Amino acid sequence: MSEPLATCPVCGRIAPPAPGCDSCGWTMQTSLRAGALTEQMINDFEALLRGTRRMFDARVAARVSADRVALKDYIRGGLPDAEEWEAAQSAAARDLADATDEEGLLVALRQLLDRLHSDGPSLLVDVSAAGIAVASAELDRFGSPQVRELRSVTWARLLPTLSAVEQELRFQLAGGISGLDHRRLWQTLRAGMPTIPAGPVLVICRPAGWPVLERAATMAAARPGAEVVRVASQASEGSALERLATVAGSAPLSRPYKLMLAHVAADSGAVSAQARQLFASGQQPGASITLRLRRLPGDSDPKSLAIFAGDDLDNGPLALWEARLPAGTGGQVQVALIGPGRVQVTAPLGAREQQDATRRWTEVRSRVPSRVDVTTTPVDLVCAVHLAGEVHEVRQRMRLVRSLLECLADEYPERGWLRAAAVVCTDHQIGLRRERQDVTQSITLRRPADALEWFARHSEPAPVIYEAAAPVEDLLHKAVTLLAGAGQGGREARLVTVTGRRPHPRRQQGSTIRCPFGYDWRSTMADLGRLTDGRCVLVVDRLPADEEEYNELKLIGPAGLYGIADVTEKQIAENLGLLISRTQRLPLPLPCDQDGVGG
Amino acid sequence: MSELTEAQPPEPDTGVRRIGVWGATQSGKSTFLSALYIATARSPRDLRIYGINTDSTEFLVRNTHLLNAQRLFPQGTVLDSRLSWDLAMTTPAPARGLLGRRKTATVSQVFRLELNDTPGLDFAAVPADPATPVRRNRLDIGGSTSVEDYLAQCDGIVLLIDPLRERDLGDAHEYFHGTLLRLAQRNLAGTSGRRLGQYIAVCVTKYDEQFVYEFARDNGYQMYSDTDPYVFPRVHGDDGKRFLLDLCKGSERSDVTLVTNALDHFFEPDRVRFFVTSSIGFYVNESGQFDEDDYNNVVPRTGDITLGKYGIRGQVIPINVVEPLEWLGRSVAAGRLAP
Repeated sequence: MSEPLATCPVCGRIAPPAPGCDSCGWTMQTSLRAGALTEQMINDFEALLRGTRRMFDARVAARVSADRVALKDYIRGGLPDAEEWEAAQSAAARDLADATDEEGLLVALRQLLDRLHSDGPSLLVDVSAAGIAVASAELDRFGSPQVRELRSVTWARLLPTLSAVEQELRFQLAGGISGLDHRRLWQTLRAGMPTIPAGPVLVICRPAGWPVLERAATMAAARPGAEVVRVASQASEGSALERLATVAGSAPLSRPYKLMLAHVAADSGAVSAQARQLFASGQQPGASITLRLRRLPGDSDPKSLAIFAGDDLDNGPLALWEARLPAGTGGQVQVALIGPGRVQVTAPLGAREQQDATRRWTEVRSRVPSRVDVTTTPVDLVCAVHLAGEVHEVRQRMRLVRSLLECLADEYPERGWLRAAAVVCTDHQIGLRRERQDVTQSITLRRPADALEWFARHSEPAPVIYEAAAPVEDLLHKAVTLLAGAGQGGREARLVTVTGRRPHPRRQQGSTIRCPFGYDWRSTMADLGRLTDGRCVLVVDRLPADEEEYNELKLIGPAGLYGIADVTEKQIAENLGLLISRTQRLPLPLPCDQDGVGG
Repeated sequence: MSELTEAQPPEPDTGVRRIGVWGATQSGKSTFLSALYIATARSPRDLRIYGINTDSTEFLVRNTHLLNAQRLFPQGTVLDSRLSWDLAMTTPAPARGLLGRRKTATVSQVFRLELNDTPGLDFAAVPADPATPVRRNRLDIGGSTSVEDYLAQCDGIVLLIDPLRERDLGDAHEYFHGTLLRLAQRNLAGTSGRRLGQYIAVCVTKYDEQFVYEFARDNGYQMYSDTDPYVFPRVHGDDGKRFLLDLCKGSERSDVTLVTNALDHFFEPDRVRFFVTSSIGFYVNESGQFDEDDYNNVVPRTGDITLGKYGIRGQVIPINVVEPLEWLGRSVAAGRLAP
């Protein structure tokens, strides 16, 4: 058996055979001296040992507290005097010479996050007065850093030999372990260290200078590439893990965040999805952006606001909200960046975040039609109404047209986006020198509300003069004139005709007399077909049973031919491509011409 | 008038020649006669028509106003009445000159045009309702009391045939043969194979109707007169009979051949002539001439239809209304004066 090793009476360190303690410098061995120990010599030795211990413990206490008396019960040799305490504080301060401060800690944490990549997590070992905690930090599929505590252990569980008393425990962690078996202590510590997964390791030792913590940090960093950051301050502002989570939550975006919008091709109506950037890469949390978005006219369903990170849509959205947009282009959507991976739609009111964004996005995407039959550009509409007939018939025609205009006025609130012109007619006069009277009245394109007002003054039912036909050809001729400029400036054109009867032919057809002006409605419809791209709807009091007449009327209403009792203003508007049909509603919002402005 | 070779001052002829009107119900008798004043007024020839009594004059006044001012058709005849007009005209007629030489003279003639202003049903062979006796003995025209008596006393007869009605209903013969046979009994019984001596102007009416007009147009029956300021299409009289037969050929109901053959069998061939007529004519717009794309002169009426379902769109410009009477006048005059 070997001779038991001596321990340092000051610091308790097992001293190897050496003249002095390599930890605290206490003289462990002197050369042999002749003669017996005198009492004085013993007193002197004990006084020296007491003083050295007091200074040693005072230095430990100074690491824990600035209060000289706070830990006096654990200072061997009694309360240090002021001079000794000052010396102890100085010595404790020297222990922190290489340590960093809180700012340094944040820098180290940010660097940890900055170094994150998709290969795997980085690890944070937080050695503090509370114990040892291990956390992982990694990027989720959206590039947002995610911090997760893997495991933690308190000192009480890790080193049961330490005191259960908080003050004493802190004193011990700070180095007041002279009364403990250091060898067993470190063996226990090593054995109880929490497992640290593979990966880059950042070890935070805070407060620095506390030997037990320093020893644990050294053990945790015992792998190549591990980094230890010693922090002088105590964890008054939360654990390093909490600080890491905070830093992660306030980290700038590693990828741009984009909102998925629908785009409708003006020429074909083809629908495609296009991402509009909300926040750029590097954008800090706290930013917000306001976008002007719109929906298709007639589509009051909630719109899905799907927000993606980067360009990889396969990852699914990081968030999916739903909000209702008003008609027109006045829909403002405000999105706030709370943190990486976290956004909040703060406007419009009532916006709600949807759970399980990925599944919801799959549903939303499946509901996006390949094309829509609705205008995406400013549009001009001519409403042509035949006013001759029974009073109830004419009123029914006018009710339909008014309802149509009111509906469109609601769905097209922007001035100039939808313009409406109106033309009405009575029956042609019959008889020589009376037939060539103009029986139409009209107004040029203007706001739907103005057209409505005009109709209110020009809707008086007129008597039927000729039952076999109506001056529909005159209405169509006038419509061409009213829509003549529609193609300019990218405006589209539409026509709805509401009449009681078929048009007069250009030439007498059977016994039906011709249009006195010789208007050829077929030729006029060819012009209108080009102007409107076939978006013309005809509503008659009653659909003809005769197939030939039906087919003839169909030429005036290529986009829809209806009996007035069987159609609604919404159906007409849908056929005209002015309102979206229910089956073609877009679950995504559309961009307005102006982009949003970040706030 | 081209046969006038020697113009002579009109000579009064005091003899009264009768021209009767014969036709099925709704064959257009009332409208034909109503248009007659307008037709004579528009004619450049020396023609005058006037009533011989107040009722007859008022008939002309009222119905001319209806046609020309109100653009309405006269209502069908609903009450028995006796209407007579004198139609004065100058006609060429053979005469004896000095030394007994034959010459053609222009003579002033007056014809008594009479309308049995009764429903055409009175011409029916048998009553439509078997319980109703045929009212053949109620007329009191020229001392006669029946339609055949009335027609027997006429020198000329205007026989109206509505081709549309004939195509649709095929009842022209029904309104024709009974009266014809009774007329034959009255005039031919006991004779040795003679034919009836009346001149018959067969008027195929409603030429302005789209179907009739288009049939004529599409089948090569139309011709134009250089002297017609309206450039109306017409069907030449020589083609009238064939036109009527062709027009009705496709009809399942019509057997108009019975009528035309009976005319051939009972009347002298040169005393029957066909005219394709229109009482109101075609519509003439501001161009002042017939427009093939815009000729319909009949329009459905709206509102109060107690005055008729159809109205007249433009001016009333009768076609071949005067001409049958002129032909009858010339023919009758020639026959009377013939040696």
